Amino acid sequence: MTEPLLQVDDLVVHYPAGRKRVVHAVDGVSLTVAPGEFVALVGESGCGKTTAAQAIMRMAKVTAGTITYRGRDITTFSQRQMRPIRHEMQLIFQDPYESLDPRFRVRDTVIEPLKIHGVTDNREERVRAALERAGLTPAELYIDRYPHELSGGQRQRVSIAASLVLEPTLLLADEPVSMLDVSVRAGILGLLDELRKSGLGILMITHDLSTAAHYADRICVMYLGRVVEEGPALEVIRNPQHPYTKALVSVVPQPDPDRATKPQILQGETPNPINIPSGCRFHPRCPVAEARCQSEDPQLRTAGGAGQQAACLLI
Amino acid sequence: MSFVDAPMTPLDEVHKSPSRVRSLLSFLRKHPQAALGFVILMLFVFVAIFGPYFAPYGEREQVGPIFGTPSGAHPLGLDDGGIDVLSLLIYGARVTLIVGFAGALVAMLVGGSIGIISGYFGGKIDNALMRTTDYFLVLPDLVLMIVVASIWGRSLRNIIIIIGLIYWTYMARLIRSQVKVVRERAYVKRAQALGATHARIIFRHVIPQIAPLLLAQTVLMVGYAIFLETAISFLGLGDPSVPSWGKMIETAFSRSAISYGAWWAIAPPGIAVALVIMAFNMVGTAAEDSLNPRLRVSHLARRHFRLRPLPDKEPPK
Repeated sequence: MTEPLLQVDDLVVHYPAGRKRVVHAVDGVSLTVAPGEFVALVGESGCGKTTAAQAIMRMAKVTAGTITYRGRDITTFSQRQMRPIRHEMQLIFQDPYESLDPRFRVRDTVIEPLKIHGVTDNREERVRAALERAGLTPAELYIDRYPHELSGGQRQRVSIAASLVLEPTLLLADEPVSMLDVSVRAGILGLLDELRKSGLGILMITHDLSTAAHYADRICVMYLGRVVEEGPALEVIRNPQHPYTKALVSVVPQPDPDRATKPQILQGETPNPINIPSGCRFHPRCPVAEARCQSEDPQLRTAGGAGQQAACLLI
Repeated sequence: MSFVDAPMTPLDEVHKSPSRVRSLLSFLRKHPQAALGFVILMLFVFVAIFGPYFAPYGEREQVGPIFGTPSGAHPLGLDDGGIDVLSLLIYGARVTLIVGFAGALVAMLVGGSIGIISGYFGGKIDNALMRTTDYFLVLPDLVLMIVVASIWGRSLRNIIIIIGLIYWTYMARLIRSQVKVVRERAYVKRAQALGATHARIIFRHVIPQIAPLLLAQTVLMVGYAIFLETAISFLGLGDPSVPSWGKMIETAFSRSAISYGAWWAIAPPGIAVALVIMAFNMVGTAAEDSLNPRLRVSHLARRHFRLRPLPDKEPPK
């Protein structure tokens, strides 16, 4: 494997919550993204996926850990030092209705990154190329419109075009399709897949395991601020090791009724990230928990197929 | 990838966003009170600009007896110096409106920028600026006015500064709260992720978003500023060298126009002030109603109450 584009080691993001309490939003996340690789970060709402992405973009304060981009440790970069990195690393937002300035025409939105980074040559051509690359062809039809004249899927394509116009090497997509109609999702995901084939590294954050299974090369499953299982997408889906992943996989609908398994519904709610359970943080909801799960904190270790890792004491 | 998820109509068939003139006209049609206020305002602005060309007499010219009664030559009579009240009223319009607009402008610039900085940066800066604002907010207006006017002296410029000093706090608080909302929008976050500078985000994304509100508030504030100018002049703290409506009332009052029965020396400037303030309020509240997002919450809006029809049946007991 080539040198990873992005390497995150033991990323920790804590927020103060008043009265000396701390929100453990991200509590030790490690992952890598290689060029041309599509990595999915999967987890429930509130498990810290978005915070992790914002920390990688250096928009949330990193408490501990390191973020390495192309061999350079950017964890402590100043905002000024981050500028050239932001040229290459782009974030796509979840909500296409909110992430476009309603007063900007499509052209203004897509040209803004060029202005911010001082790219002056061939702006118009670059904008058109980015729009067409994002599937908005012909570009003339869209370039002078306002966001309210576009559908959700078209807006998300504009948003993606604005990310592509700087020709980035790494895309962080924060639930890029969760606000879109199901009929439009496949188009956007297919677009990301094509971009991956052209050599971009993509880290997609999602809570939809079946989407991740279909498009991603590798899947990282997050629970309560930590990666509990990680590995090649097919291995993680076909042969989940961690009880949490097993529960997630069991509730994905199967198209073949003969193969359908009994869905395993987890008991209880995700614990409050202010009070992390002792030991394995999944033990209060875990169907197979033992006594030692309450005291010992499991680390990621090799389990299951090649390249697969899980953080569970019982495997 | 050639498919897109919805067919697009060619651009020239799309309904073009209405021009500024047309949107102003439709706004006035929807708010008849704003239209009335607008007409009154235009009238006064016209007088303020061109008044000196058609004022029948000079502003310091004694043309008849002290407190001369209204007559054909002097429709509004004469004041304590035998000066034509109508002419004074016409000359005064200019000063009064200039003070009103300039005072509101000062309040808008100071309050607006403090509100934007405070709301955008948040944290310690926000805290420091808002505590300062609170401090100014609790200062009694009248006392502040008297103190500042007596320290700095009585001049038009000082009156404008006093008005700005008193009203910027309201502006700062309102703008800050709106900027705080805009700052959390995803497109602002996105500009940050792209590495845009704060100045760029403020000027390109934040200010255009709050500009309509800023404008509506400024219009409202002009009315308040004129009121304050009249009050300051009435207290004898106005600029002694220029005619203003407040000063007309003050001189007439202090030269006991009332005991002479010379109502014409007091009533016209009073009515003019009331009319202008009312006009600014009519335009301003209508603009605010349609532009202030807070007032779109129906129970806070001044207009557009709609009662739900009562159910046909008796409620179950």
